[in-house]
Amino acid sequence: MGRQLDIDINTPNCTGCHICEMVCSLYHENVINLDKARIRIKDKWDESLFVPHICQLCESPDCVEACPMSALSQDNGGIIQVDMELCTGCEACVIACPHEAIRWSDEFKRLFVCDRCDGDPNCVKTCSVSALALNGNNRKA
Amino acid sequence: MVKVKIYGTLALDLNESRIDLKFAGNTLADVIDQMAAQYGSKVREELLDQEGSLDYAYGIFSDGERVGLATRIQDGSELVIVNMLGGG
Amino acid sequence: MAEKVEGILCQKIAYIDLSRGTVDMEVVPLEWHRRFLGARGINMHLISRLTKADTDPLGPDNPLIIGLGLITGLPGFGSGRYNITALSPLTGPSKNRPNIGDANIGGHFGHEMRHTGFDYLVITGQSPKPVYLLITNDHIEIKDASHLWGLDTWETQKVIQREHRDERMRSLCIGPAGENVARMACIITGPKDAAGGSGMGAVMGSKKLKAIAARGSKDLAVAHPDELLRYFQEQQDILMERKWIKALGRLGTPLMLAIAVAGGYGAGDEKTLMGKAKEEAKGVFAENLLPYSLGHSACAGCAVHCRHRYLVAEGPYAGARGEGPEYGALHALGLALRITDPKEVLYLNGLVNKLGLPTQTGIHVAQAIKLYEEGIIDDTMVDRPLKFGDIALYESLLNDIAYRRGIGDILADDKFGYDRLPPEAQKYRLSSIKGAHNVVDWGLTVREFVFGQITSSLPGHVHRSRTGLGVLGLPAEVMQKIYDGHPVSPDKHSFDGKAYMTWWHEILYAVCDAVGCCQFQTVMNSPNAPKYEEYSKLIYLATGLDMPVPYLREVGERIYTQERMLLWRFGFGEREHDRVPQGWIHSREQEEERKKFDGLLDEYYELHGWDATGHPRPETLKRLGLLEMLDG
Repeated sequence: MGRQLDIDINTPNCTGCHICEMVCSLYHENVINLDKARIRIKDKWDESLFVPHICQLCESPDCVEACPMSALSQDNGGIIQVDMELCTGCEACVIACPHEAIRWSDEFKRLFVCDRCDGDPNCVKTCSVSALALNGNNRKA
Repeated sequence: MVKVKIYGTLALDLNESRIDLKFAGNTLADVIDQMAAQYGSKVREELLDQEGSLDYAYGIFSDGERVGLATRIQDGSELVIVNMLGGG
Repeated sequence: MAEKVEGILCQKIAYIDLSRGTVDMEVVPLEWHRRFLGARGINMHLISRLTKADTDPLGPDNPLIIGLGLITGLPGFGSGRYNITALSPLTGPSKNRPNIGDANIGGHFGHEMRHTGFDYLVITGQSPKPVYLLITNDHIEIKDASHLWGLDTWETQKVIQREHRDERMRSLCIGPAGENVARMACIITGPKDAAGGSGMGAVMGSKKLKAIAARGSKDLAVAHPDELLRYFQEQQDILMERKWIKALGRLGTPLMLAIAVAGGYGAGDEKTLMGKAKEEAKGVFAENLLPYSLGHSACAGCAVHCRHRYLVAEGPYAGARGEGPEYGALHALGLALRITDPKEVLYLNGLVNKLGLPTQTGIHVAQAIKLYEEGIIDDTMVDRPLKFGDIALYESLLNDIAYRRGIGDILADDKFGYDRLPPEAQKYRLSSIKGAHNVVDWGLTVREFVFGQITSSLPGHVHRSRTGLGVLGLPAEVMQKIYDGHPVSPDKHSFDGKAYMTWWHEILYAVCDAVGCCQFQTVMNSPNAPKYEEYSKLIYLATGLDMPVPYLREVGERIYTQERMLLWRFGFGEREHDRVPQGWIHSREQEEERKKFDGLLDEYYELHGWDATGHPRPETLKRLGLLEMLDG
């Protein structure tokens, strides 16, 4: 806690609609493509469970520490900054992240991690079931 | 006594599926007022729209027929309140 | 001005011949989108071109068509819908002759397939051995499915995900019922989303096609992304405040059982608990499902999440889990079987989903028990007595149908099975509408509901025209405003305006289905819901195409008249097929009411531009650009 843009995940609420992933890619990439979203919903329908994964702005981020190329850093707001010039796609950060929130795409040769959408996260705004809450507030509060 | 059976989301909101009202009024509007007096503002919030008419998201029936705010409700009547969905 | 065809308008159609093992593909002609939008509209156009009156529904020439909506894949608006269409093995005039078949389905498959670059699959032929289709970016492979054959629908989907190491891979599949070509077999995706009607699973099984798997990572490039995002968010905010949306999201379609009790509706058969909607039914009312609910789930892109994720934690059905159940299941696997314990319905619901049978199969089980009680099915035909109240019996009969064992082999042939029962069985046949058997008798009280069902371009199917607004008790002025200034009585008992009302909804839902949106989010449950104006805007934002409201209404008419022409092709287009079935008439009063339903037909036909026999007039076909259909 203490960061400005904490997103709390309330997994039992998630309905697996994937709207958050759609708006994330629309906002950042101007296309709909879940493989380019910074938030991921893991779909375990046979266990009746849908699990959101999104960067938690860790105090001492394991991803930053794990990166052998120093391609990752964290700004004052806690947001992970990625220097794609340095990133080699080794996925050390992916393995290190305890939240499974940073993702390497072999297809697009890019690292995807949430940047909080310039301060007004689209995923939180559009989640109809408050599976995501910003700084303790959610749509239904 | 007017018996009010409640199903659906209103039953959950009021935590009540059956209300026996010692009815002192004449119309459905009076029934709703009495229910609100006992169960709070949620009754009106849900059953009425912003203009104070019956909100068609709910159906209130007596003997299989819909009743309106002005319908006279006799003592001994049985009302049923349900969420109204047109299709499914 | 020449319109640039890009993004969504560059998706492909694939023609897959399972006899020859070939795949051909091309870009979907823009003209098809202009004329029919997508999904149901384009699927039916393909049916009209690719089938004949004598195409064997279980033969190689029957095309199984998967077709996505024009905006399937977008966030919001219930845009996860698409259609699976083929000639139906269930409802034709004879065992080997077809009728029109179609199923609208949700879940996540449609969205996933969109990202592969394919919007339409036309699957013909029959594979000599079990296969599945693997659809990835711009690529389709026909793969061996011998390791999948025999698995239930859940196992099938999980094995495919595991072998491709990708939980994002989604599949449409059949279970044992489709494999054994039980005529009512359905196609399942996820835990419960079904192409449930018309026997699409039987068609798929007749082709030895076990599954269609899709995993795509292509961009869905919309024409106006920023504006679309804003428009979606603004519409979402409005939608989520609606009371009926909140109710649907909280309790789902099971809510409707209480409406049946309150409003005195109910299935005509007095012996079932729905007969006159008895109060014992409340054991399976929506609130009583809550103890088993873990939360809700949604189709892709839908914020309404109208169904539960459920788990039965204790008792003889401990471990039963799944999604749903829907109102139809509460009847067919519940009240029709004299069941009032929700755990039992949940258990049977999961069972049929895994077998790949529609929930309506419960009606077949109930019918078999009734025939046994009448002595028409006797002890030489079954291995144990058939009686109500025995869940183990219900389970074994459902399995028998899926595996075509014993009496199940007869039941699996649906109306055609009656040919193999003693002749006395004939008088116990359930009613048919345009060849569709088992059409449940809900009574004649709600005029527009009945009229919509008997005239439906998909035989006996209510969703062509679900005139739900009729039961909302809207004032007459509001009704008139909705229905273009045409007076429509808000009284369910009245026939006034009901022809116009039915026609109006038929046209709207044709557009809603073709766009790829869920009917729950249109003017079915409320007048304040997305309709033509919203679809016009969505189409523009997604594709750049300009389709104003009058244009869309004409597309709706085109789609519906196209379907009527197909009914004529298969022998069910005539006026006599637009009547209340005799089996629903239980009194002199209802006999009189039937005449009043007949009395609505002339106006209804005029609105559609059809003649008094129910055949589209040549000038209508000309206006709608469907003249080529006159050749049969």
